[in-house]
Amino acid sequence: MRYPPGVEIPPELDDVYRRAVRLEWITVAYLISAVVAIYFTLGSSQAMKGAWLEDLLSLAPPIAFLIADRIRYRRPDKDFPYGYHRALEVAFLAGALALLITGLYLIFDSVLKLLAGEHAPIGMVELFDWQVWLGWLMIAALLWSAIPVLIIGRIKTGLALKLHDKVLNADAAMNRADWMTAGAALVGVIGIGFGVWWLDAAAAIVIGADITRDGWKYTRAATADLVDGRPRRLDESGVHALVGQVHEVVGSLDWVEVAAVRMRELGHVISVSVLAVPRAPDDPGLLDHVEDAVQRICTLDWKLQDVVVAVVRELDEAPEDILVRPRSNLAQS
Amino acid sequence: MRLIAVLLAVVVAGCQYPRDPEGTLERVRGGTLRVGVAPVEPWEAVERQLISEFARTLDARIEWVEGSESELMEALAGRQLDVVIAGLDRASPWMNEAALTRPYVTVQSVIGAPDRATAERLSDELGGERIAAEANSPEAAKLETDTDAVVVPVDQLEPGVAAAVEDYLLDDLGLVRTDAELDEHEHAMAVSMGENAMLVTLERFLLDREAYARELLEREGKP
Repeated sequence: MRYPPGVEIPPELDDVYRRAVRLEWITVAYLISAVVAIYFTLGSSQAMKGAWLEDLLSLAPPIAFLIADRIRYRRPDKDFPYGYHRALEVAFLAGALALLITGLYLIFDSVLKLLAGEHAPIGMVELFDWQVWLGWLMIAALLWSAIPVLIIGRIKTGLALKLHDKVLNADAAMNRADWMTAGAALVGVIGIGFGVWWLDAAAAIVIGADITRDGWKYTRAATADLVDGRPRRLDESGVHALVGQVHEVVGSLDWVEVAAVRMRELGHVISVSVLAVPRAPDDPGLLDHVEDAVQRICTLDWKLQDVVVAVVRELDEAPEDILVRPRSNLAQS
Repeated sequence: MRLIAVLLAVVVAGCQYPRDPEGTLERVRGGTLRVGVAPVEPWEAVERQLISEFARTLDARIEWVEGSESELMEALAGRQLDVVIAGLDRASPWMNEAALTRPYVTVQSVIGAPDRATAERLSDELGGERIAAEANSPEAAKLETDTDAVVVPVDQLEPGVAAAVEDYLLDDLGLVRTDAELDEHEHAMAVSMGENAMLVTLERFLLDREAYARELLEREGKP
């Protein structure tokens, strides 16, 4: 047998993966342009500050993805015998925490400003010889930050599904949510223009709530991965379909009396370990059975890697939910 | 037809965009502009002149209120004044109390030399040079802390003596500008926070008169 950690990306997905990497480079370059554009038009608007923070933080997932791209292919070594699949998760957690804290800060700051009745001043600026109200430039910067990212986000969602890549998916979700942030900020800035001073802070609170929600969701997801929660779907909406499929395969192994199936995510791949109690511990073909079982699980899907089947005499106190008891199909064999 | 009328109304209304939450500009137009002024030479004269002309464009008469910078800023934050002129600098600590306009004039503190040759020498190296500065002034402070020059405090700057001065005084003193810049101040006026129509109108007025403001400053500023 080959040492467990198999391919990081299967050859048939190589093209998809390369597209994702290219798209993330484009995202980083584009986001930096949006961050700069908003920075120079920030003024005193609270909503603009929110939009800026969100754009700045949306740099975290693509950068995490690109850094991981450099290290994920490393072979396991003596320091990291499980390989480097989880390199991504560390970055993912850090990014999620940053989101959460920023969202809370923005809400707090804006509520204070709203309560203090602070009116945001937006004055004139001079670009070369052209005098223009800063509010118009803010609106232009917000539109620039919103529209292209909406399209990039949609493309990324598709790629993330194929690659089962959480960071890519979180990134896509944030990109798609960006138009909301920009929209809220637009309402705030246009509101200031009409003399409705409180719309700015109110919009910033909405943006803050959105950032906090994303941050909370991804912090939970990243934490769950780090404590080896069972594999969930990309959008965290439920258990990953492969869990059921692996259970089915194990359930069809007629040499097994009972088995505990444990699955966890290693970055974007899924690791499986099966503790099996054989019906006939002295069966000389046991080794073949085990190898066959590993093979069958591995061929289910490329994401299933680091598959280990261990034979044990008994399984005491295993949680009932992860146990599989194959029915004896003596008639078939 | 009605649609066009509506659009026209929007466009006409759009003339005043951004608007003031508290309607300062509308009240001032054809009414009274309440101006807080702090006695700071030469800025008081320069800014009084500018604001008087601004008020004329709005058909407003001016109610002058004199006071210290902090008194005036407090009154402005509480909307008892419409504009404060006090030789304010964009880097002033009032950013959270009031809206500062774009700078209408930028003044640099520089070292002036009596002639071209000296100017070139001073541009290269200030170490050990004797440079005059008005006693107890910010220029003297900058010279002391940021350079190796020997500060010579004087009560009255004399023409033809190398000195640290604000750039609008160079001509009066017959000095040549060196490359040694000590500091830069962007001068602005203050209006009430968030009164954006007022802010934008005043800024437009000032931005169109940068050269004029400079002229006023050179005329009013005396060593």
